[in-house]
Amino acid sequence: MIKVISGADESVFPDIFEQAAILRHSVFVEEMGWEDLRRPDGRERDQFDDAYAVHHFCMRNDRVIGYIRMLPTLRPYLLSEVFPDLCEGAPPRAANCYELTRYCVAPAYREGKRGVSSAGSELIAGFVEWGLACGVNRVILEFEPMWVLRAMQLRFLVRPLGFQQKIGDQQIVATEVTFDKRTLATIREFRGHPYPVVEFCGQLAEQIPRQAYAS
Amino acid sequence: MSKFDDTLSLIEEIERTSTPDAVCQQLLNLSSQYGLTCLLAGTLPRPRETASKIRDQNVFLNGWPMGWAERYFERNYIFIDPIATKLQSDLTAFTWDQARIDPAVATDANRMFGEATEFGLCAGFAIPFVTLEGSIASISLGGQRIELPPRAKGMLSLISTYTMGRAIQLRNNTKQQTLYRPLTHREIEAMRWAADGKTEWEISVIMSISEHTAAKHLNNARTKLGAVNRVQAIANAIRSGIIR
Repeated sequence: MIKVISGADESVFPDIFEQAAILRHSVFVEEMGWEDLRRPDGRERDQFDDAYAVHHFCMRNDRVIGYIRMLPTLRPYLLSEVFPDLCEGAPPRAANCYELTRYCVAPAYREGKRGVSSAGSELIAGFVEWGLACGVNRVILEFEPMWVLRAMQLRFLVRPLGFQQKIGDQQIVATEVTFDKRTLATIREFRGHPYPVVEFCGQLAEQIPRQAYAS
Repeated sequence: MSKFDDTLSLIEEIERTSTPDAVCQQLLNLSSQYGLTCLLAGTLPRPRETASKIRDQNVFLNGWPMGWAERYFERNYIFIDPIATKLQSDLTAFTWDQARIDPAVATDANRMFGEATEFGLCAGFAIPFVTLEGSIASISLGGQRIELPPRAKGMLSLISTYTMGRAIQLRNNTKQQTLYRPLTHREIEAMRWAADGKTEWEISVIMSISEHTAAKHLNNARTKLGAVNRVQAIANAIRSGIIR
């Protein structure tokens, strides 16, 4: 299950946010070596973890084992502030467009050598469900070019925002994916799991009518 | 127009293509300016897979010179080809001359390269991919004499990714169509009118048939589409591209 919680509700769900910060630190700093993000307390967070961020937590037995963060593009976000060179034109800014960052899955849940793990595909199903429920149908990602093919296989409409560039050890391409109900159906078919995965918590549960995502 | 705008419009053209040959041609139009005039795209076969199975299941786009792909698979060259081996070892694009020949198969590999030269394949560029399911796929571009500046490699890799994505989408579309027993022309026509909201009686008038025959066409289509009612039949027909 994917718990979707607004950054404004961090104080309501301190334990979940804490687990996610530890997971982020262990994946991005200790495993991938993004030293800029290293923090003495072993909890990774940055200037974008504010009240406007929307956090998606992939849960197994009440533990956070996977995570993504969605940032509204109407406010400063990673591509516009940190990686503007990845974008050829002006970075997109629109109410229906969010940026996906900090995608990670705990090592124990990355089954399969090269394919997408079930936690990974659940996070993908989750962000599309979340988007369709709250009027977001475009998502910006800075990812390895390998993901372009996977996104097309899942019936996202995929467009690069610039040419790929080397950042650290990785080739990264800024990309915008657009989705609709057909995308969600394809993802569910790939997962062999036809049911919704998202649970809105805190203030989002009050804002978003249940019927918007229960189908 | 800037280089990037060119790239974007090419990607859009690739997504508008509706046949594997058209996808293939779009990429070749771009790559030919670097001397890469032919290509093969697909997934790597399992060890000891038969040539006919490889052609059906693994080859997505065949733009090799006439006769070469057939010979390549009949003679099991794929299993000794240094390029295919390198595709599995590291997942970055490379020119063919960077693939190391395994001494154990050197005689066969050199014979293969010799024959490829006779077909006009002297040099090339191979781009590996990983599919959603975790299998390794690739597009291999080749030609007689190639001239590939570093800048072009990045762009060619990017466009190739979209080419591969489109090739897989087109395959899945046809796969879905063949899930169902084929509908007759009259059944498809009746379904089209039904999808436009016409009643059995209206369809019978439009198609100049009896109301009973119109109903029969629709019921046959429903059965073939594995649907429990007409609404689901129309949904299945649209989803699988039988009607729009």
